[in-house]
Amino acid sequence: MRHEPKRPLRVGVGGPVGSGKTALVAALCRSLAEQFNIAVVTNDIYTTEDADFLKKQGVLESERISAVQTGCCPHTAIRDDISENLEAVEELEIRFAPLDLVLLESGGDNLTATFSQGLVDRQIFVLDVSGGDKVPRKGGPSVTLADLLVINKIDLAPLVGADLEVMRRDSIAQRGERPMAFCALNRPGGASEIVEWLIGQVSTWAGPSPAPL
Amino acid sequence: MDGPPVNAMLLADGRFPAGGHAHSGGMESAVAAGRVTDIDSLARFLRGRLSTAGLSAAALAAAASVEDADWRALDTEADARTPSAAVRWASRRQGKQLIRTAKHLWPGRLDVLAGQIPQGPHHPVAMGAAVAAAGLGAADAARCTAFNAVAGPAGAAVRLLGIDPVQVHGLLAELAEAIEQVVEPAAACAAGEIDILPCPGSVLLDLFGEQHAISEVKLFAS
Amino acid sequence: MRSSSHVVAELAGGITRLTHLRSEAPVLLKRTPQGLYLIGGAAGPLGGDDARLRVEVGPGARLDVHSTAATLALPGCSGGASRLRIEVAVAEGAELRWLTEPTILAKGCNHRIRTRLDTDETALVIWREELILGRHGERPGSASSRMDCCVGGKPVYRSEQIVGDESPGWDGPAVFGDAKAAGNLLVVDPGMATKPITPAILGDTAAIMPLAGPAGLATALAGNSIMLRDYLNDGLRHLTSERRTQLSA
Repeated sequence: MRHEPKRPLRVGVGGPVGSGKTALVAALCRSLAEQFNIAVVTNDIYTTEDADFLKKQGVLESERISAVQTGCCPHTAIRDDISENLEAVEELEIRFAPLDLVLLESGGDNLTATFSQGLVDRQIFVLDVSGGDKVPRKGGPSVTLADLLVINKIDLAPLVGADLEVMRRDSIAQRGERPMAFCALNRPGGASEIVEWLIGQVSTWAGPSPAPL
Repeated sequence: MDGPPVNAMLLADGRFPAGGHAHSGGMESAVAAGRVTDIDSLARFLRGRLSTAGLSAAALAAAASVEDADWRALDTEADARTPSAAVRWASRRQGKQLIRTAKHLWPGRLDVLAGQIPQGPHHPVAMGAAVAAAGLGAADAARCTAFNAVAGPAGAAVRLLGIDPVQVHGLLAELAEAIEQVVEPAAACAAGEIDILPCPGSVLLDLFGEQHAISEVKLFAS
Repeated sequence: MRSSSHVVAELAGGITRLTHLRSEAPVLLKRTPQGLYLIGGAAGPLGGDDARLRVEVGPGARLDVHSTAATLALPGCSGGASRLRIEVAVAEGAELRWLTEPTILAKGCNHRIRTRLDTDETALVIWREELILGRHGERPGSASSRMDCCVGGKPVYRSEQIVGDESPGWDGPAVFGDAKAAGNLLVVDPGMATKPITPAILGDTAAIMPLAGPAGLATALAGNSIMLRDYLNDGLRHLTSERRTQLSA
């Protein structure tokens, strides 16, 4: 892909249904909207609920949040055929130029759904402890390829019998030293570690490497 | 017309990354209205769609594939044949996405089309231009378009109704002859006057397009 | 039967006069205080008929066209098609209201209607077309009706309704479904260029659609001609409610 040299950083937020993707996007917008010029694309499976939720939260002007339909195939829309998402991202980039950051939230789907490199520059994968502490061990492209792995709802770990240490160890085994964050996004400041990571990514973003001619 | 025939397969493949998977071609509303419920009603839907919207689109695509085609005029003709604003939007959206991908594969004149119609050409115009850029001719343009007109909604029906994909592909195979019956007249008028190209309408597809646009709960973009 | 009918409406001294009126069966034209009436002459159209009608509405003139009864398209002995070709030109500032009664497509008919409507960018046109798909309890024969509407030379609406097995799937869930009546009401209004209409759903099988140009279309399917007319009357109210161009009295 040939990109213009100075487009905003595009960050995908993926993960299974209910893991906290929308809560994370809301928290990131809330923390970063003063500092950065941001827009969001949501990929809901069935409605525009996620987009509507974000709009109601008032974390961004509603015009900066765009919802795309995925034809029952949320993984296709972020991986195999990214046209609808690219269209939405580019419309936002033109309308609110110059943006610093575009967040793309995937529709809640299975563990193998990753974002295409043609669509995003970085991706965050959100798991939660109630999905079971074996998920990181099973790996899969999302766990291994994500630039940041988020393990949410750690406050529930004792209640669901999840061992955070097992999750940490298995994640390291799958991902090496690449970063991960344990958090409870429903708590005040619960996203601070992720916010710090993202500020670092936006600040050092120099644009995509030019395509070979 | 010296492009490899496999180029037409690339363009007609549902996996071609041009946004097609997000559009149901009226199927989602037809299912919601209870008009398509099983393999038989699906068969009747596909036959009707092929001989109306399919023929109209195939003829436009064939005309857009000829040398020196007047893409702007054909785009206006597509507008005039599409009374539903929602269907016009879906067509332009898919046309734009088709050009986005196709110009990467076959650079050259497709940039001209993208520049001429920046809001996105209608999908048949984009398909005709892409087929020409791929080195193929009017019959290929008509065939890719006619096939798309049924394969897209058929795939949507699989996802929406859980109909056995083997049966659905059986249907598509049964439609092969009907597709050729659309391709032949579409390709035959490709180099002629564009104002007399066929324009068969489909009232229900127009109504489905409008109903879909205001539907609150939907899986597809159209 | 071959026939050719021709009418010219012109504005003279502030009123519209029919300055030319020639008609031949089966398209007989009659001047009335309410406008021009199409009256069924002979029994028709029958297979083999080839009728032409040319209508010209001159600058600033206003013409209303009605018909006394529905037209019944019947099969002929020859087995050939019955044809009706209508050519209409509406000049600058002119108004045409074409509100004729439906065409009933009887069993075994083979009827072809072609309408070419060329209007000036400043003209106002209301055009209703209704097709009844067979008499009571009857499957229709074959028929098609193609409308080509250009405003200022630019195509705004081209659509051919095709009934019968020559168009596979015509009575299926993508085209007419189980409807017995189908109709359109087209409004071309220069005011729509600056103030477009908004789409609206009039019912399960009827909608208002803004066309890509200064025009709007009400389209409807119904179980019978009365329900169809209700939808299209509703559509007419919608399309002319916010009068974009001042209609003459």
